[in-house]
Order: sequence, then structure tokens, then C-alpha cells
Amino acid sequence: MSRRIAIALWAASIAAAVMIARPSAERVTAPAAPTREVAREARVIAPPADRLSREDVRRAVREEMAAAARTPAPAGDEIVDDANEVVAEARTIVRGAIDAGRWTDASRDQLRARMVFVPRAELDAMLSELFVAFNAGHVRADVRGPLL
Amino acid sequence: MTKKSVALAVLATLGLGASLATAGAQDQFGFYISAAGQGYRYANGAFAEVRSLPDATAFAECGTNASMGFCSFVQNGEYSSCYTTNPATLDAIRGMAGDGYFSVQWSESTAECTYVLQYTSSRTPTKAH
Repeated sequence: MSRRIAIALWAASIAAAVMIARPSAERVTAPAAPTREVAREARVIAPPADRLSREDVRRAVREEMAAAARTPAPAGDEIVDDANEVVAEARTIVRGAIDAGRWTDASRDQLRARMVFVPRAELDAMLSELFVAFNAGHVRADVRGPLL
Repeated sequence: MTKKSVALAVLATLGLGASLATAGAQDQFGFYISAAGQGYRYANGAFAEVRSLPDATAFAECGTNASMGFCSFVQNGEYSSCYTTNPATLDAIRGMAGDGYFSVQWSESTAECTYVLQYTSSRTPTKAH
């Protein structure tokens, strides 16, 4: 009799273990986990900042530095050439207006675009030439609004 | 009280009101540009007065940008102007007010503004709005 009871208890424990290990109905009907592609795309579009590792930051800095190193910096001579070119253009605008006897909206706008790049001594020389011509009546100020 | 005394009282009241409305001394500064041939020229005036001159071509204006400034004056069809790149003079021009008085002097040989005074006073006429 006791042997039968022992066999029944053994069978019951096996059955209970099987029931516990089996997934519940809720687990089966739960939404499917995102596929690997979707998960990867989400990481690329909006990476959570708090999940960047130090190595991520180091890699990004190294990449930026490498990219900057590949971009050639303008040589000193090129910068000087550009500045000289702007000054020469400004001078041409002023001389052109004096030769034409008219200071127009276009002359003003062209000089405005370059004025900030013209060194003060050069600007003084140009403006002096232009304003003396205004005052002598050699150049007519034919502008709407401000002279410069 | 006679009719005559009532009329006098009314007139006195009206006169007092009018004088209160125009309280405060006012000067007319005019608009003057000095003659050429002295090595320098200057223009004096108040912007509000220049606006109301019978000479429709007359104007006075000054302006600055980051690196230079200028003033232009026209009176009786004659155009006069000066420029500056001097930082202190630029600041003086930037302080000008529409109701203010100005005095600007310039070199005839270089057209550089050599003196700029901006002056604001209750005695100058106000800008018409």
C-alpha cells in the first residue's frame, strides 16, 4: 500500500513540474519581440545618450580628428591673396564709381559686401577718395537711403 | 460781474492754458553749412528743424556700420559729406538722436569727419511724429 502511495506521489510531482515549466497562455499571446533589423535601425536613428560608452566617444573623437586632418588648411599665402583680392575689388568699385560720376545702389551694395574685409588704412584711402569726389561734385550720390 | 469782466476772465484762462502748453524755452538752431575754402567745413543744426525747412531738398543725416561712419548734408542743392573710421567719432555718431542738435566738421582735403558733436536738449524742437 505504501508503495502505491509513493508511486502516486512521484507521478503527482512529475505532473506538477511539467505544468510549471509549460508557458502560460499569456506568454504565448504576448507581442512578438522586434526583429533584429528593426532593433538595429532603432539604435541608429535614436541612440540613447546614456548608453554611449567611453569607447563610443573615443571612436567618434578619433573619427572627427582624422576627418579634420584630411581637410587641407588654406596656406598662409592663399589667405593673403584672398584679402588682397577683396581690397582690390573694393578699390575697383570706388574708382569705377568716380570714373562714371555716379554712386549707385549697386556700387554701395558691392562695397558693403567687401568693406568688413578691408583694413582700416585702405578703407580710409578709398573713402577719402570717394567723399572728396562727392564734395567736389564729381560724383553724384544716386542712392536710395544711406550713402554706404 | 459784467459781461466784459467775464470775457476778460475767459481770455485770461485761455492765455494761461496756451502758455502752459508751450512751457519751456526753445531755441531755433537753424541749419548752417560753412563756406568752402578754409581747409575745413562744418555743418550745424537740429535734425527736427532741417526736416521742416522750406527747402525741400535740404537734409542732414549720419550713419555708421561696424567699421566706418559718415554724415551727409544738402542745403540749397549743394552736397557735403564726410566719413570716419575713428572709433571715438563712430561712437559720437552712434549717440545721435532724431531730436538732437549736431555739429560736424570735416577736412576739405580728405573729407574725413574731424569733429562730431551730438547734443540733446529740451530747447531743440522735437521730432514730428
